[in-house]
This record gives sequence, structure tokens and C-alpha cells, in this order.
Amino acid sequence: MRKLGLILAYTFAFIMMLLYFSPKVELYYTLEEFLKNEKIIFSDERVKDSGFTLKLDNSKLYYRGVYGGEIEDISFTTLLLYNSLSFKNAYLNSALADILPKKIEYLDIKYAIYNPMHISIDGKGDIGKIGGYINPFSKLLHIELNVAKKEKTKYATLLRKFKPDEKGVLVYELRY
Amino acid sequence: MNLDISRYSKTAVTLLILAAIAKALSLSSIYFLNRSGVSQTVDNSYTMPYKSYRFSKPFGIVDVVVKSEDIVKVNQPVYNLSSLELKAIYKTSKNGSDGGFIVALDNTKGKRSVFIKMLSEYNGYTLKELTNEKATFERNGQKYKLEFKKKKSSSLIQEPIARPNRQKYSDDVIRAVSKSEVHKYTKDFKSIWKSISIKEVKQNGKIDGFKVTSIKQGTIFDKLGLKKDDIIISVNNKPMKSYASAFKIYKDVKTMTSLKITVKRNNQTKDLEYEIY
Repeated sequence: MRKLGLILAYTFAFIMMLLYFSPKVELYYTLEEFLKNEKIIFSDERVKDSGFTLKLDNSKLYYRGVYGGEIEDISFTTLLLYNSLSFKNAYLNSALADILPKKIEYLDIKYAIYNPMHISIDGKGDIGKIGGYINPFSKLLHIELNVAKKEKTKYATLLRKFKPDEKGVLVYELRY
Repeated sequence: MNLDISRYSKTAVTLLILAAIAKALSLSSIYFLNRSGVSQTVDNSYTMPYKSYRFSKPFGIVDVVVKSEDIVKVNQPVYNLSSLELKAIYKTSKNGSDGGFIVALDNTKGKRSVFIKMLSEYNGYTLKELTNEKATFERNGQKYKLEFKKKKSSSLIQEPIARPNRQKYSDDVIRAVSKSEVHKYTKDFKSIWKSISIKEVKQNGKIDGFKVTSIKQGTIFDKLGLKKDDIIISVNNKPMKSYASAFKIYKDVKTMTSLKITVKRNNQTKDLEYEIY
């Protein structure tokens, strides 16, 4: 039994070492190539490998060659049992203001193995606060938005996609 | 005690070996991965803003054609001028275009009599037209009327004013598009896609224009003379080779005074030209 425990401990340690030493920057460059085929490009970013976290500073986002905005800080952390993707201070192209909020203060997407059916979403932008989840099994995206009153008219086009629930919270659901 | 040290050192050695294996694996995996990132090339070169130069213009020849049958009546608000009280109209031609003046009482200055000559300015209002019943002033493009024996009022009256209809032109004339109509679309990005749908046209895997797949009747794009199946090749002589170039036109159109859309229609290249006024 003790030997089995030791083997498990060594296996766990080896996996953690693999994650720590994994070539995250090169993996990101490979992902970029895949995103390029989808016409999504992160440009002019500074890529930094910080052990378990990959950080991208000041990325400019382009979709089909159109400038979408700039994101000050993107960080992806993986600990196998717990993974997170965070965006901080995203300034989106003002020409897209009626489709997307102009500024996103933060957006955190977290996934933990102990709750496999729930990828949580939490964020805040000039439009208000958002919360929600993705259920990868039922392929459902559920977003709840607490919109700031003064932004209701500004983002009327975007808000049309949301429907109020019984509590008056704006909800958007998408099955993919 | 000796046993413990050997056990710890054994664990440490095992962990070091595992770390070395993990590092070796990660290093070898680099061989299969990309070692450089992707960047977007942005064209920062300065280009002169597009201007439509017509050599006939300095000689007073304006080639914007508005046909008489294209004149329609549209409702434009006309305000009553409440600060003045009309007393007399003197005009030398039917609409006073050759000259004339009015006599009015200025209510803001204790009913003082004032004489206002045709095309002269009074308190920012320019006298533009005279009829037997009323005088029409203009201020900042807005029309104001002054009539005999009317009560002081600031109410809004809808009155038809002649305006050119930009709906039906032949293909070879320069069309006129109002700035406000253009601004309406630049403010509401989504309304564009409700009015027109376009699809990229590719040649050798690269975008070589945008095909108009549908166009809603009565919208600005319909009025502009674009037709279904037209392939937009360039705008203001800039080739439409990417979504970015199309988006740049959308961003810059607010500041444009003229617009030239080159389309391929029935395998023939055609220029659609517009003055934005």
C-alpha cells in the first residue's frame, strides 16, 4: 500500500514537472497558427512563460484583418486539476461599440476537475458585471448580466440578445 | 538515522531523475512545435485622402445631374418666426429673387420697426424668399417663415419642401448622398447588415473583392445604385483585398466628401461615383 502511495506521489510529481517544463511559448505559437486559420490573430504581444502560467502582455487582437482591440494582460494557468484563463483591461475597437463593450476590466474563465460540468465565467466591463458558466457536456453557454443603468441605451443592440429572467437579471443562453 | 538520510536522498535522486526526464521530454517536443509567432502586418503608409477632382468645376460646369422628374416632395419642418411681426412685403419678382424687402415689428425690441432686405441677415436669419403671404428666412440650414396676422407661436409645422430624389438615376451620373444618411449607418454598424449582405470573392485563395449577395430595396445601398451580384473591386481607388480594407472605408467614410465605388457588373467594370454633401 505504501509503495502504491509512493508510485502515485511520483506520478503526480512527474506530471507537475511536465506541466512546469512544458514549452508553453512554443505551444502558444502553435495555437496561434491554428487561430490564424480561423482568421484570429494576436499580434505585437510579449509572451512570458512563468512556470505554470503563460502570460501575454499588450496583445492586439485582429479578426479577419480588422483590428478588434487591445488586451493588456492575458494569462493562462494550468495545474491539471485547476485551469484558468484571465483577461485584464481589454480595450475594444470603438467602431464595434454596439456589438461589444468598449472596455472589459477583467474576464476570468475557470475550470476545476472537482466540478467538471461547470466552467465558470466571471467578468466586469463598462457595460456591467457578467457571470455565467459553460456546461461542456450539455454544450450550453449561460451568461447573466447585471447591466449598469446608464449603459442600457448605449449597448441597446448588444442587449437585445439578452432576455430578463424572473429576477430581472438579463440572461443569454447559447447551445453550440 | 542513517537509514532516513538514505531514504530522503533516494527520493531526491528519483525526483531529480523525473525532473530531468520531464525537461528532456519538453525540450524534444519543441521540435514538433512552432518556434515563432504570428503577427498582423498593418499598412501604416500614408495615403492622400480621396478627392474627386473635376476640371469642369472651376468653369462653373457642375456635372451632378438631377432630372426634373426626380424632384419629389418630402416633409421638412418649417418653424414660425415668433420674434417678428410681418407688416409689409415689397418684392420686384414672383419670388423676390430679383430683390425686395419686408417691413416688420421686432417684438424683442419693443415692437420697433425694421426693414429687412432680400438676402440680408437679421439676428442670424437670412431672408431667402418672398411671396404675397409670407417671407421665408433661413438659419443653419433650417427654414423659418414669417406670415401676416399670425399668432406668435413656436409650434412646428410640416411643410413640403422640394428635394432631389436620389432613387432613380442612370448609371453614368454622379449621385448625391447626404452626410446625415451616411452617418446613420456609421453610428449603427448592425444596420448595414440588415440592408446589404456581401460575400468575399476569392482568387487563388486571396480575397479579390466582395460580392453583393442581397440588397434590401429602399435602403441607401439600393439608392446608391449597387445591384445584386455586383462585385465591389475597389473603393476610392483602393482595392478591396481584405476585410480590413473594407472596415477602413467604413471608419473613414465619415470624413469623405466624395466616394467612388468600382464594381464588376456583367463582367464589365463600372464606377459608381457619389458626392457626399
